[in-house]
Amino acid sequence: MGELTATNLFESQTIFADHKDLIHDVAYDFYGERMATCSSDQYVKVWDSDGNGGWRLTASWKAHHGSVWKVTWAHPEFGQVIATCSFDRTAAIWEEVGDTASSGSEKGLRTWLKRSNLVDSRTSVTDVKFGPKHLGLLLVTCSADGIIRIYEAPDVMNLAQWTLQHEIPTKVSISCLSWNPSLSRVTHPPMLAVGSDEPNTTNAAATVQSDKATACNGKVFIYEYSETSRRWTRTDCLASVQEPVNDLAFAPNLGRSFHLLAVATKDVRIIKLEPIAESSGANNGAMVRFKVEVVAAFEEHYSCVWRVGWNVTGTLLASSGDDCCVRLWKMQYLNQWKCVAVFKNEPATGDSPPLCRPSTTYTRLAAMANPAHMPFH
Amino acid sequence: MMSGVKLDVLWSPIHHEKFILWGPDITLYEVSRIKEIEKKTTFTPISPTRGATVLASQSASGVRCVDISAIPEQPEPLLALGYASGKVALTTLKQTYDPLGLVGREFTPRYPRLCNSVSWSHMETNMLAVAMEKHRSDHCILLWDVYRGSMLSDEAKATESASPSVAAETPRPLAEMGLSETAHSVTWTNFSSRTLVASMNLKYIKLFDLRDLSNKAVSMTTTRYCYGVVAEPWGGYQLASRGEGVACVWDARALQRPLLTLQHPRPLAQLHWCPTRRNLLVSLQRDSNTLRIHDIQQANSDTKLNNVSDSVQSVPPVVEGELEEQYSRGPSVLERDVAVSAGAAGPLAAFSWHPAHEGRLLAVCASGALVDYTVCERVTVSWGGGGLVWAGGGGQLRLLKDDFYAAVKDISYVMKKRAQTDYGLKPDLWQNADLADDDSLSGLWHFLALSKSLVEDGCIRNSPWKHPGVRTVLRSVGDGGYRSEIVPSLLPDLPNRRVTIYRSAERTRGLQLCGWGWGWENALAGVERAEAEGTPCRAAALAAFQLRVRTALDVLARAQQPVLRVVALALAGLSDERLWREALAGAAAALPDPYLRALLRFLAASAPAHPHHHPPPAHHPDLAAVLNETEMRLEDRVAFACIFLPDAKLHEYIRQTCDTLLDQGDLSGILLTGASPEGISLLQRWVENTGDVQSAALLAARCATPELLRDPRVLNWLDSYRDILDGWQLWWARCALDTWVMAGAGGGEWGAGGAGGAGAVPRHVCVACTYCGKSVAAPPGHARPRVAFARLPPPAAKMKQISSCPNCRKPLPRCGVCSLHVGTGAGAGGAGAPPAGAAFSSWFSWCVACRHGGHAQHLINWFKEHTECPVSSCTCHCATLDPPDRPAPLLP
Repeated sequence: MGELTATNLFESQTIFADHKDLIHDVAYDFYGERMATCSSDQYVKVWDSDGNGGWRLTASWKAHHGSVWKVTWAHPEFGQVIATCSFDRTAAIWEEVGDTASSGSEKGLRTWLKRSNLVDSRTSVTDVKFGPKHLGLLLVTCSADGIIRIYEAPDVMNLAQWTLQHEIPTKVSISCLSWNPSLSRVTHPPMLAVGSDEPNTTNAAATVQSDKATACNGKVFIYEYSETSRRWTRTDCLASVQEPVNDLAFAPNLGRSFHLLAVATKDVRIIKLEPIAESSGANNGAMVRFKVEVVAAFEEHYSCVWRVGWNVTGTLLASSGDDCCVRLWKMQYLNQWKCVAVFKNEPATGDSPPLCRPSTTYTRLAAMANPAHMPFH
Repeated sequence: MMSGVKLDVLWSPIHHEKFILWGPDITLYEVSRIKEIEKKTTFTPISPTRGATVLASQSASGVRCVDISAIPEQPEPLLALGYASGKVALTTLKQTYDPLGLVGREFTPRYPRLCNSVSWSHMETNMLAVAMEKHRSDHCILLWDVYRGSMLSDEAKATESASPSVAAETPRPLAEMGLSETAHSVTWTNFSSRTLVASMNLKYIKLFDLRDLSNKAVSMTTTRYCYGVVAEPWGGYQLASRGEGVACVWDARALQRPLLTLQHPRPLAQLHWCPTRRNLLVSLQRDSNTLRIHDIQQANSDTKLNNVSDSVQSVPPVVEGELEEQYSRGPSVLERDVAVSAGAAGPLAAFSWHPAHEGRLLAVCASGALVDYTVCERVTVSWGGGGLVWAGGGGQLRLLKDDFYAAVKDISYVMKKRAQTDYGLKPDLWQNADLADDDSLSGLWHFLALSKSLVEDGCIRNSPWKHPGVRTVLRSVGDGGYRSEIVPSLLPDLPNRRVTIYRSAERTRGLQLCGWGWGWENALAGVERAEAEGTPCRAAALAAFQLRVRTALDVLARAQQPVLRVVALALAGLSDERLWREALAGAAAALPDPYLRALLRFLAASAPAHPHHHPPPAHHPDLAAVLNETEMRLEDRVAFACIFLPDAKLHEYIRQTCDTLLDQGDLSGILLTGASPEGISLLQRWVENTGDVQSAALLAARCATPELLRDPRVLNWLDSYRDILDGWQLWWARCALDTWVMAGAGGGEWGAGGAGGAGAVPRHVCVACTYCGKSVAAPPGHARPRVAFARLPPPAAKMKQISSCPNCRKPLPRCGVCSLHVGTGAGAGGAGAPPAGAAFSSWFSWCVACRHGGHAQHLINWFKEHTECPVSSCTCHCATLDPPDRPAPLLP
């Protein structure tokens, strides 16, 4: 039994990102060697790992005319491609290229070119995500006016051409979305979860799709693509989430027979979606697709949770919220979830000059309620 | 505007730990950490870690307004107090060194009336603006240069004699504005020096440009929401004002109409811009516990132009105009409320931003309680290959280092470490057991190795699975259709006891799978092994279950712990005496070791060897006590059952145990199921419980039959694990995994070595001939194209590469650089023979965009100096289509 007590300190590395305003999103590429950040200062920055734990700024450009909300990497088999979305009502596709104008020694210089600008939205584009790579080069955006748009690049060599494949109106303001990353196309059709930040004061009851008789006040909707009808349809609405949703994320599927969805709303929620076999729910129309179970709901973030994120195995969940803390939740045996760490996010004090180079700080783990729950050696 | 008990707080702009609280008194506080405050000093806690100590205090009677100067030389905050008489006095609450001699200076208007607001300039720190009530023959806004102000009373008189020229005349304001008007408040803007903004006459916001005092430019706007004008920090042009329940944001360059009108349910008490973050406006409503944060989103206008042109085609002009109105008016705002005070402290009375600390503000409740609050920005979190990263305050990114993951011992960390040691990929199954570093996993690998060796030795035949389990062998001879031989036995060392044991070939195989073997020789080896492992209780139990009580006693006698020798004593006294049995029943449950309990209960259950027969079933409840010792290893329980349970009970026991373990996802259950569909279900449970997809994928790759490898669950594990390996860039492990999977799926050659299995993998991609569409890389061993080759002249047949399609004999395309047909030797090697493996230079490659290609080496050389395609008419920038080379990692 090891001693992982509140006195243990862990090294954390700090990078001074030099954004002029709030950083809205950080995204790793597939290999975890590159990082992209975006901010209200309308800039996107790309950071490369030097292989020794250090990070170097390799690109920084003004990407939009408004706050850049999200940034996301495409799978590397499509090249070095990122997508951004912004308050300026557009989403953009960027590709990193060598400098075409020069040759010889300067050929190694790299720039990010805007390959495409998706201007279909009439309101702020709140989230953008590339689809799982086995579906091809897909991109989904959602906007504050509640329209989910799914784009496809029919020719992966030509990132300038994106066709709008589907436009799904939801009638509520959509703040975030997540692809189900399941690799198994046989058992799990392409699936999207979207979260709404529509405040409850307005008549949220009007969220029901007209063709659906089921009234639902939930804020999280599940959409699935049907190969036969070639349409995306809303197959579920999680009635357990009634408060505005700030973020949600599917856990990596990892061979599980069910899906785990983390939702950042008033609390951190982990929701288990277990597909029900087709045969048992054969009556069409009002068919229930999932057995939905709230596995955990944590209220430690006070009134508001901002973001949630899963690790590669879907066994650790990070969340941030109004208490200025980043909290880590770990899956114990048998899908029990416990808080394993709290990182207080100390704001930089104005007394010390901003750190211009990476520095090392130490982070303290939270005291564990019952250390015996964690198998340390 | 004034209420009876006005409370306000104000941070000093230059002394970062000092603030004033202004109520009936004006009190100067200093903030420090509670730990650092000396004992017995009284302090006001303002947050869990900080407290404020009183430095000085004075009565605030008659004081109408306060501001703290930003003069950097001041050792203590210098206050300008505006009095009801219109007088403005400078003071420090604390007696201190006064380098500039400013303390005590007073500025009085010509005609006394209420002073409404004072404001120090933060750019020219000697400038002080004063706003006053209306007087018909005087101005309402006065600008003073404090360095030129008068001295007070005796001090003034003293200096008067020293420098009469300065103080002889009454001090005159630098500038006066607003004749016969009322100014409710005045403040300095930050976009240029000497620009004042004031709320006037209940309906105006006026902007005074005082850079040229002889020509005071004034711009103004009319609004009901004109009060409490504040200017954006950071040199921005935005102003904010309030009135009733509305806050307005203005652009100082275009005051005609507000940029934003923010509605509030209740009247506004205060409005302040955040000094540490741009575009953040915070409002306080009356009788409210919360502050409302307005995050103003700017969108530049040039996008508007794009969108106008976009929308022209689709949107009718009227609608377009409306949309234009709606979207391009400028910024919009994201609002949220933060609860600053707990409900008990009453509503908030006022708040003040800290001038430098990010997001920090100090609020005062109506009860007088102070709250040090930090407005938390949205912190973004993200996981990736590099670990967890989150955006902390001040534009910092924080990354968590490896030691954290090691301490949390998350499965992702464990998996990565295992993958780096070739876990699951070692040629012998048992070699993986040590790499797992986990008891249940290593037990599983050992079992699979054992099971495999039994199959290979021919002990177990007709198994449908590569790795049969106990259940597989027990039912392999039809469904319960076999009969075991019943052998009543005496215990050799206790001649007065007897037990019934059962024998059959299936049971023997089951025992072998459990690692017990059959016969005393095998069993003795097991006993010795258990003793060597430091588990004497288990060793003793194993011996006793083989009816060798003497050996069991010897083992216990050799044990270190004295308790065990006492147990040996109890064993030796085995008898039918009621006393002994009762003592045993009481003692067995108290024994710490499950094997000791099982041992005693087993012996107690043995029947006395009297001639008259007890029917054997009478004893079975007692054997159940042994079998229910779930702390015993599964293999020992199962082996015990294989020896002592009759057929029906054995099957029942195995089935029940198997179902329980399957339900729990307990890996040891593989002992029963083997690598069968049931085993896959069990592994699925294990994956869901632990997230260890790695072990599941590897076990499937190594042990599953081709049919099982087509199970969607198994495919899902393999795909997931491949994806994870790709992300970690563990290519070798990924490749070895695929090799094992292909070897397993190929069928026939179970357990073929890693290298041997690779030959069976069919080719996934090939280069096809443009004419006939068949692969140009027909392997030499391939049967069909032999005929065509036979007709080739001998020199061509000897060539290592051919330049035509082996199927249709049409020539292959030409190299864009050397114009020879690809497939020929590149000839770039020069005189020196290329070393082995250098054949790469004669491979051919092509651009997927323009489809021109050639010999790899030629293309590499070409693109070292060119960016365009070597084919003369083609302008494709082939090489730049690829992502550029990443810089090589710096070597330490």
